[in-house]
Amino acid sequence: MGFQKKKVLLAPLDPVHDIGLKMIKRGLDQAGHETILLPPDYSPEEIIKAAMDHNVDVILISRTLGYRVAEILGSFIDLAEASGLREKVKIGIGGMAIRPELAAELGFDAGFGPGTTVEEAVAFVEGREYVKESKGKNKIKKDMTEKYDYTFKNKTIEKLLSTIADGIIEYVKDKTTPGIERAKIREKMLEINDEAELLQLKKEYANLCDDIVKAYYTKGTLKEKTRQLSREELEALTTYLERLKNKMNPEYLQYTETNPIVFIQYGTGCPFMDIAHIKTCEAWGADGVVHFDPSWGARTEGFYEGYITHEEDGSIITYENLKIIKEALMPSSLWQVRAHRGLNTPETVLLAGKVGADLTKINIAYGSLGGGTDPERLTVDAVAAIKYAARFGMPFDVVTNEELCGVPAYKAFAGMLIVTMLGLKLGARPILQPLFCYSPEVMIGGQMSDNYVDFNAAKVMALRSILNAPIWCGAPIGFLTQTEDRVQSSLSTALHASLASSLGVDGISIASADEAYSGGPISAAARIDTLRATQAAFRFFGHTQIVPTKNSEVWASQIVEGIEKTLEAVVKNGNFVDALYKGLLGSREEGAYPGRAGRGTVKAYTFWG
Amino acid sequence: MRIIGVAGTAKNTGKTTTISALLMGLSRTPSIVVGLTSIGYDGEEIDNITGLLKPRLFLKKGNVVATAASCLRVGNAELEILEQTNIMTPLGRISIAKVKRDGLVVVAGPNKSQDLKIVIEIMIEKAGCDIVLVDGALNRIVPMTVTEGLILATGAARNPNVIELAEETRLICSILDRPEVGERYKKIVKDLELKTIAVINNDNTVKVIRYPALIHDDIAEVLNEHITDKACGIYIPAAVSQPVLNKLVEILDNRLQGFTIILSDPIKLLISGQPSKIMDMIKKIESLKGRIEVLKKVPVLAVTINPFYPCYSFEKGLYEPAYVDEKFLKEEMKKAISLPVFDVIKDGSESLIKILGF
Repeated sequence: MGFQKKKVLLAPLDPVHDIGLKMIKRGLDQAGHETILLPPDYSPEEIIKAAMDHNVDVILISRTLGYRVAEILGSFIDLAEASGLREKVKIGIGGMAIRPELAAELGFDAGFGPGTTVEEAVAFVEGREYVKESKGKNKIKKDMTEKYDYTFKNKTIEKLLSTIADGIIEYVKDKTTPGIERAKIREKMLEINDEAELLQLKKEYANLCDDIVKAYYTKGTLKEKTRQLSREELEALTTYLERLKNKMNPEYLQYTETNPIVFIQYGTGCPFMDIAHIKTCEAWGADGVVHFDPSWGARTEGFYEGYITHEEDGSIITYENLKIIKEALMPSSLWQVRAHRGLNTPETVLLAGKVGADLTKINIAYGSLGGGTDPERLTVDAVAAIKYAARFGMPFDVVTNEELCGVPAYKAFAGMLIVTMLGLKLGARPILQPLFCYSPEVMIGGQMSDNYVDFNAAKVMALRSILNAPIWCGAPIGFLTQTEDRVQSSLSTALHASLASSLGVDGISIASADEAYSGGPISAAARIDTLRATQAAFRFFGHTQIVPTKNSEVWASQIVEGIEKTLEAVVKNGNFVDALYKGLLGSREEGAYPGRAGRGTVKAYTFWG
Repeated sequence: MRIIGVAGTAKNTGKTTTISALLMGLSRTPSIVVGLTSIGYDGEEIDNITGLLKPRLFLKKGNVVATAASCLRVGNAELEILEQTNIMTPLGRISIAKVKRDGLVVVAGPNKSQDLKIVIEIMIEKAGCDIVLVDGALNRIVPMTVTEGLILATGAARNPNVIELAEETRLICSILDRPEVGERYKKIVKDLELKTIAVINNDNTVKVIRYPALIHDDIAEVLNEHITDKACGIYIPAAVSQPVLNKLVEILDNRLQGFTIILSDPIKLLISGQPSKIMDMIKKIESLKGRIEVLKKVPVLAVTINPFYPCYSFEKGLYEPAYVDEKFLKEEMKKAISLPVFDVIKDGSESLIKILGF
């Protein structure tokens, strides 16, 4: 023991409650101190006499707070001081309602509230400053892909995917799109300082944009419900962040080393508001945040510039908007900018890379079958986008949100695996993102009529049997199992998080407790709900495994078989883009409709010279 | 008077309101450097316990505050740290700071006498304070022995029954006004540096026991063993429990004639029981021709009254503001005590400040 042995009197100034004191007593005994634990319900005078009789160095009092109890504690401390104890005896108070402010008000030397560790009380006894181990403050950014080598266990599927991916690369090699050309111009615009040249580039850029974006570059106007943030607002943001900096003491969600990284999604429309949401979630333990852009943005050729806010869901992507968000992030926070489904896919990945995002999101199959973009256009754009992702070292996830349209998991997975293989061939690091929720397929097929465990587990097991790649369950987990009841929503999220953890996945995206039914802005309190619930669930299960029934193995095999058959059909068809149009990766009957945005915009590379 | 404490009889009796009134009144003479500290936690927006809004503390440029590290940046007054002490509180180390720009402050100062003494000394000697105001906390009063004068804040939060409240205030003031002991006993205590309970004999010899406070029947028994026929007084440097003192009085009974019970200050007695019972006991001692006196008085300068009290609503599950009749409260209080009585919200602070000699 590095500190002088102390004599400590532990007294529950309370009729019953002394559990906390008993725990502290054990800690103090182990640290070599002498402890005297009084029985409950001693009077203040008896406690003080005991302190005098035993000549103690420290008194630790525990008391639950109730009506007039503050006065009782105030009287106790007065009596202790008037008895001459306080000149040599330190007195601490502990209890569920105790906060440092209250301990100061009551006149104690220290206050121990909820979350107090035994070590903290021991440090007080020993007179040393307690430095709370802040796991949250010491967080480090994690790379979900680092432990994966992407080797295929299923060689048949590997071969099929390789054929399809080679076909895609061959298909796009002499093709370009306005999206690809804009990304090239944008990169030059970000790199040059010459005003005249910049003006010329802006003109070229505007010519490749839809009218509402062109109007910004030619007349300076923005679409309705959209405006630049004012200087006052930007200054207020700086002040807000400065104030927050000192206050941040982030929670840590994971309880075991196998608990997955937890992402939240933001996209309020306003970057300032987004930052407030991000900071709230960071404070409550979120490891990563995902940028949601507006749906109209995905269907509009071209990006605006500047700090732009608007009154609809999804936050507009501009270099400046992304930059202020990036600057507001904690260094440990993973940041994903989605680029998976629109006409600005290459430029989104370029901007994300330039600003310093950690992750992006690209999926041709979902973007063109459930996201509204023309399959050919997105195929050509996606290859360019994946190349940017590879260049900037940004892993990208391949989400299977077309499942939400009704496409069965095996077909969606086939699409996901094609893009994954494409990514690998182009030097990028893809992450598998299966839906982890109550999808239309199971609503109709009944695979979740008994439990939500088996089919979700089957999906992860199926993917694991195919290749060694990171898995990030999305998005958000438990989608369509949550209701307008925030308690139910939080619990459902937490249970899905626990299942995902038990399956050993690398990441999860969670919704707020009011997300599915918010009918408007998501509230900060509801974000905290699900983060706290997830944290509590991780603590509850620890390393315990959730064991699915035999059904999961059966369904996992069926999914793998389905993937294989789907891929065979695509190979047999000969052309991936054509397979998308034909519904081989999700048909109209299944709710997948090849998108129309950007149709006919793919040109031979020489078109733009 | 340079060191003024504002002690309350309970939470929400108007300590901070009284301090605020004093601050406002004193600010009318800009040359006066006012120092402010608290033995608790003051200036917060919402009460820590009831959740109701609280009065805030506003300091003008040039004034001085002693507060804990984590409170330095909470208010909007601009503060310049003059000195960092080694005094620790649950909210961090106490600093003495000068107000560079007017604004609100949150004050959590030293919470025990010995620390308060050190801080006040720095505020007067080093920071140049002409007056130091010490805000109380809850019903705590012991650290106020360091002050030179006390303003007692009481009100409906202590007891919404105005008649009972006025009577209790009368008793408190009376207990605090116990007479000082004669020079003979003062000299014995000083010369012998008595730190624990001592029996003083006719021949000026003393017999000390190991306890400083008379707070347990067992201590009264131990003490009794040392009281001989020669004994003429008992000095108790620390707290005195009224029930235990009662027991001692029972033991001594007729021997109390000409006997003096000496306390270091009247607060040591006040904290030990209900004022009415303490007063009954004093009367009993006096009826037996004994005396109970103090080494140092704690002068009460004035009483401030607050008609507000937090009323717990069981239906809503929260505290709600409630009030007694303020006129009736003031009339009854004035009838009960001979000290000046103020409702600082209604009366302002001018007269109160005159009492302090400013």
